[in-house]
Amino acid sequence: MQSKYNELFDEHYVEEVLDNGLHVILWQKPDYAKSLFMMGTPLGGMDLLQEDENKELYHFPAGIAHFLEHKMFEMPSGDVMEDFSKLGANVNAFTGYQETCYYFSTSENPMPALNLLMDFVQELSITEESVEKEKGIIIEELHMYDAMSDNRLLMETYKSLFSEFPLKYDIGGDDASVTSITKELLEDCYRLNYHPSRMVLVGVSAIDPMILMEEIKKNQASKSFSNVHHVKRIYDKEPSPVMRETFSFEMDVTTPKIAVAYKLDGVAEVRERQKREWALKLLMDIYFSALTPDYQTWLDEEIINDFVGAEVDIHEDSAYLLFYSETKKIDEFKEIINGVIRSIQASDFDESILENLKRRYYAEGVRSFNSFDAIAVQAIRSKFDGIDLFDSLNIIQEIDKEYIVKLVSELNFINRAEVQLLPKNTK
Amino acid sequence: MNPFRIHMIETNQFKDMSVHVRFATNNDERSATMRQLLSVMMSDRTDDYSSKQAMVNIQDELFGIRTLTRSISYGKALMYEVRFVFLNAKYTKVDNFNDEVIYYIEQVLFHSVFDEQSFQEAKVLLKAKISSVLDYPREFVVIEGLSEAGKGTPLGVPIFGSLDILETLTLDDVKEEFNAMLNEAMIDVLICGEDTQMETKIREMLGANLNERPLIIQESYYVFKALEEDHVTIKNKDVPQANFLITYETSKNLMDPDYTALLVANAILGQFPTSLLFREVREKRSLCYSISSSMISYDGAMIIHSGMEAENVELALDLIEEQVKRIQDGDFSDELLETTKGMIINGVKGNKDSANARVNLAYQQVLTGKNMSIDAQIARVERITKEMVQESFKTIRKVNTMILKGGEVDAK
Repeated sequence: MQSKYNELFDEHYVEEVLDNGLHVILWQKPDYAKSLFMMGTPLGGMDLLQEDENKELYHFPAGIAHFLEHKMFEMPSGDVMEDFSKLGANVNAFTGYQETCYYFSTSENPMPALNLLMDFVQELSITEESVEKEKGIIIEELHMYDAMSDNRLLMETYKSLFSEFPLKYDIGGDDASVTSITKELLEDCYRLNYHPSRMVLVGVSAIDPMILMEEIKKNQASKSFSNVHHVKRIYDKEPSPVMRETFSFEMDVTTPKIAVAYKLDGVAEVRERQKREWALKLLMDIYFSALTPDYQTWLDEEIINDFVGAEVDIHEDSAYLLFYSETKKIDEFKEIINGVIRSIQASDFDESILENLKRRYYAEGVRSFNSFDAIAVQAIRSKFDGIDLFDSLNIIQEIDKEYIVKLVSELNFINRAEVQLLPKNTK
Repeated sequence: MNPFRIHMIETNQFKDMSVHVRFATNNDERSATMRQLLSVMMSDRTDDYSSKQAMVNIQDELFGIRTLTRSISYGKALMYEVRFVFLNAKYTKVDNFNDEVIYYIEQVLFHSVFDEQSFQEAKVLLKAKISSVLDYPREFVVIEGLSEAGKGTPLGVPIFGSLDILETLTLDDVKEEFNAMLNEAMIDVLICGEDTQMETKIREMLGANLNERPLIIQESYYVFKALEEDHVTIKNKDVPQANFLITYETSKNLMDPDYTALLVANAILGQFPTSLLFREVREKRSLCYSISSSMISYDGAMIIHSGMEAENVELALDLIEEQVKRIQDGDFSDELLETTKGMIINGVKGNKDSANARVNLAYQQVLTGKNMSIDAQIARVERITKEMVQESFKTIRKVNTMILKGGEVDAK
């Protein structure tokens, strides 16, 4: 069992890879009443095409990871949520683009629920009937998100940016793809992606990690698993041009919303990827937030309101920069973004602002360790990315103006997509 | 005489500290509207940090100190909070960090800029925010449903206030309201964190800025009685999914001796995956993804919300009535009762691990005088029997069902 302590964040964890390949990470948090345990697989909304070590390809409909997440709670004895409830534990799960995680929290003795977590995640037991029944629930969930204008705006922006990259698919899929999912597809997807050697189990608890590790090992030693498949996510290369340069759609909203996004190149190496993402985030803070004096002008002219922001996301094979706002002054907003891009390209900023921003994000990193959920999710994502968690949180401190200027000189902002969400009957 | 009380929750569990400054006044539409304006203006600029840029700069210098403002209704009381969350000094390695924080807090509380520019900006932003929130079907039915059900009562006061009132307000109104709040509100400051010296520093700072006056006590809990008979209200928007909110009188607020039984009954009905609504409406019939029931404890009300295809709404409403009756008739297992109590107790114990939860519990104790210690709460839940649950639900009465569905759009 390895032990890791970080002085900057004053945090400590232990980790071990078990005989079956399960990666276990345990944080001890004395003085806390509750425990949280989370088990994750790197199967997410982007996994529509996988290739195993024999180059065999597996095609899945959009939403398969999310559908599987729903079905995992079905056990031969019934709904495992009831079993957790009887143990006084709250259980839940989520599916992201690159992972699916199952977790529980409890203020009672966590051992029974911990065993139950491992047991239910490591067994899939579904019927044709229950698969059909779940389709209705999932479709209602998708319709719930469809009613949210900011969610719709983001999804249409992804569709505008990407022709191949699977971010263009909603994590949950759509009505048609969900309807097409079968019991066999779910079982195949499970078999490929839920082997312990692909998974991470994180625990945050006041209990001695040695005791927890023993319990986990005992549970795992009692089980046998089929051979692991070394699958990887694949997709066709994403071309540089965007899929749709402009797109608009209508919803029953009061004020238009707009997103302007730029497609960028991906970055293969994870550490550099995260560093670049931080650097671009800092630039957007400097030029597209209240840190710029122009922000007050934009407000005064009612070009922006409180629903305004920017985000950056860099993957191995593609990346984007995205600006959004709610506004009736669409053309003026587009002009603002043009100006922001020019400012980013010039990157002529005062370094003291950069140092202050680093303080902000350092503090966010420290404070994230107050949250058991955040600890578990960060730990799992770092493991899947192959980067040390503390290193990942601290990369930002390495960034200086020189790095940013060099980075910006290598970017091009030619590949641009614009999406407008308009009130009904505008067109 | 100090017009405020300070409540120190000492703990070294968290990596940050929080200071919650709470002003409680009467809950009415005008106050709610004013508080929303103050919410925007007070976190915007101050005398010493006289631009948005300067504000963000100082916040970043203080390691990303967070300044959050919000209003919450507690029955007859409208509580306006200015909350500051900042890193524990030891992580900053800055000498006198907490003194710098105190200075910043003083600036926000007592030296916020109230001028015509910030006022007009706040009005525009607030109008946009209210319109935008009402675009979301779930928020729409909750806000409109409570307004409809609670007409003429504190329950019906929309938390964002009124657009009509907003139009009539002037800068002088806001300044007057701010001064009135300082001089007439019930003021409580709750501090959560490891540095107990903050209590002394906050006390000194407030004492220097607030006029001496007697402590004011604001009434909060009451028992909601609808002014109209039970009715259904239908609104239309072009939405992919219908949403509805059902509002009930419960005849019991949190001070009622039977309140804990009602809390357990509500949880059996619709709080956990084991609940009757979750099982019958979602799991058995796949009618929806989300359905839940919640208590509005300072008013003595309960609400049930869900979203689903419009053609299934009628069936869902019938199923909901059936589940309410099941609880009244005791048609639920002992196992469900014990599991539900266990889940509630699990949540209560977990509150120790959240700074916000601890602050809110302390504030509840301030408002009600009720012992909100973890042990006391657990003891109240543990003693609840099936018969108590049944009895508690017999007084609930449906007063309104607000349904939002697709169709010819209503005039705004």
